[in-house]
Amino acid sequence: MPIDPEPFLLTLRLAVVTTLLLILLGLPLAWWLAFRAGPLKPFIKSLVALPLVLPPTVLGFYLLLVMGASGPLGQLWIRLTGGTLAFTFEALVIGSFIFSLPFVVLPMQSAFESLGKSYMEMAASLRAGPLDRWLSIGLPLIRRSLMTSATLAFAHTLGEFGIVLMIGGNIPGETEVASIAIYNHVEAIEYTQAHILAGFMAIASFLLLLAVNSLDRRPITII
Amino acid sequence: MTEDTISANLRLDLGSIEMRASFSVPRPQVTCLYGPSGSGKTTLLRCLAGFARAEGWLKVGDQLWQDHQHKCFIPTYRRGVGCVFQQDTLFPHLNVRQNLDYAWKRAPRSAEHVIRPDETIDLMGLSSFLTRRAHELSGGQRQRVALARALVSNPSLLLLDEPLSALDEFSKRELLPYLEAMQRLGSIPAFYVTHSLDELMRLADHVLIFDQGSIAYSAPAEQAFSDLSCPLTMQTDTASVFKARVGSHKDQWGLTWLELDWGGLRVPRIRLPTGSQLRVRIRARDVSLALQRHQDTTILNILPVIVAELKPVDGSEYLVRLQTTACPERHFLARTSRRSIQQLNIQPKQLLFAQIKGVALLH
Repeated sequence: MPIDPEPFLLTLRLAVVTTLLLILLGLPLAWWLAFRAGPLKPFIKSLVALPLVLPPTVLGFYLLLVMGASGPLGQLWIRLTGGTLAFTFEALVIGSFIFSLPFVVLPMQSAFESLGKSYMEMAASLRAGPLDRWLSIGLPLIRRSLMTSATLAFAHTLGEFGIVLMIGGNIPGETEVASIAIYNHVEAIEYTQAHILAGFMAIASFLLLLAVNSLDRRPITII
Repeated sequence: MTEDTISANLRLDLGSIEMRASFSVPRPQVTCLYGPSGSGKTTLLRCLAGFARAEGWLKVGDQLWQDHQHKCFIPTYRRGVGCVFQQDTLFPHLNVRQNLDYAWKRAPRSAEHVIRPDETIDLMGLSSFLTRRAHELSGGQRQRVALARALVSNPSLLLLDEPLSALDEFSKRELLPYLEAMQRLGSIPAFYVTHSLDELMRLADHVLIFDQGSIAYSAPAEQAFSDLSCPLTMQTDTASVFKARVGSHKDQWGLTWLELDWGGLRVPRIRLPTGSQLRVRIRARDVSLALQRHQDTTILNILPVIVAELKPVDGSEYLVRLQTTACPERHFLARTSRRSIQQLNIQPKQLLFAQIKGVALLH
């Protein structure tokens, strides 16, 4: 009875790519929300937080409409790449990104707010340019919140089901992630395979959280 | 030839009030911003730093830092402004030494006035806690490090926003000499926001007084403290402040002779060497007036003066602005009862003798 490692590796790849994207795009968005958003802030913040309250199937349904061959994003994708977007790995990445966005943006926004602008302003006064300020002051000071949000986003992506089912379909090797593979095994009454995959996921997730929680225990005065 | 000044005409809407600051002050000097809280002092400082974007223009020496009309705005990191604020200025993830090095690494080396980290460690007395982080330091130590770091960054402008206000009395007294040392260090122009008349008297070369968002008064310090139109002189503890130099010591009397640009003052022997610069404060209450020069008095300092102006205060008293005979631009104040003014029939332009009971040294 061979165990196919493909769903697990795919899940891992999806989680890594999504988390990186979330950090790359979520951090500036969180900064913008904290300091620059102005009157738009409640609107954008609610939009970002929507995946927290919506059933994944609702979100997945709308995403499917947008990314489908006749949806705006789907059409743009066809024009750019020649292929369809829905039911691909890329679609999964976009879906997971939106689904996990609040897990990065909301905590980072409050981290930025409690950090305040003063340290970044101080760095600017000492002649540190924008990128220099971020690397030397901003990131080190929020690294703890960042680590927590990234872990949450990563773990959240590992475990999601509804959205990937809606927009990914169930294509082995392309969009069949671990959670769906487990579901398929259970449906087919292949309990052993389901057990192995589920146990593997549980242990891997726990080890991940354990690693992050033990990594940085040095006391730091803020955040 | 361009004048060596810092001049600005800035406006910023703060919601409740509008900050309007239009001024021109000599550059290599300490300009103190004084006034009630919420009057716009800190906002002006933030505009000078480039943290806040006001409308209008700002010029430092011959450099244009911002000009709203021509869409010119030099960002903070190209201005070089050493900031010392009330709190939250040291980077919490770096220790003292690393905080200094952060500034040193980014400081331009070409400028004439390079101050190395090691120099400031000596100057500010930091050597015993170089490896500590901000939260392991006392308030006074933290401000000394912030001051040192600002100096190391080789700033074109120092901005100090009530650097002493978060400190207790003891730390304040401990830090003031360092601020004065920094001032003597030389030619870095500074803007200093304060609520404290004492700090104003000790540190200001130029005074800007804020009221409800705009600058209500601007003058050199030596003029401001003796100017009856200046809001400062309406306080009960009015005093005039002058720069002085230690002239000579008269050891047989235990006295020191101080030289001012309008005359000399005898004070109890001080320990500073001849030639040292310091500031003296003469309280208006400590100056009494006489029609003749009394020989039969214990008062050490009696100077001929001309009455320049009289102004009633509090109903029963007068403030009298006295012009020194040696230097017509220098004035100091006497506070005296209305009764004495009437009995001696004191009038403007009259020659009198000012008897100075006490002179406080500020350094």
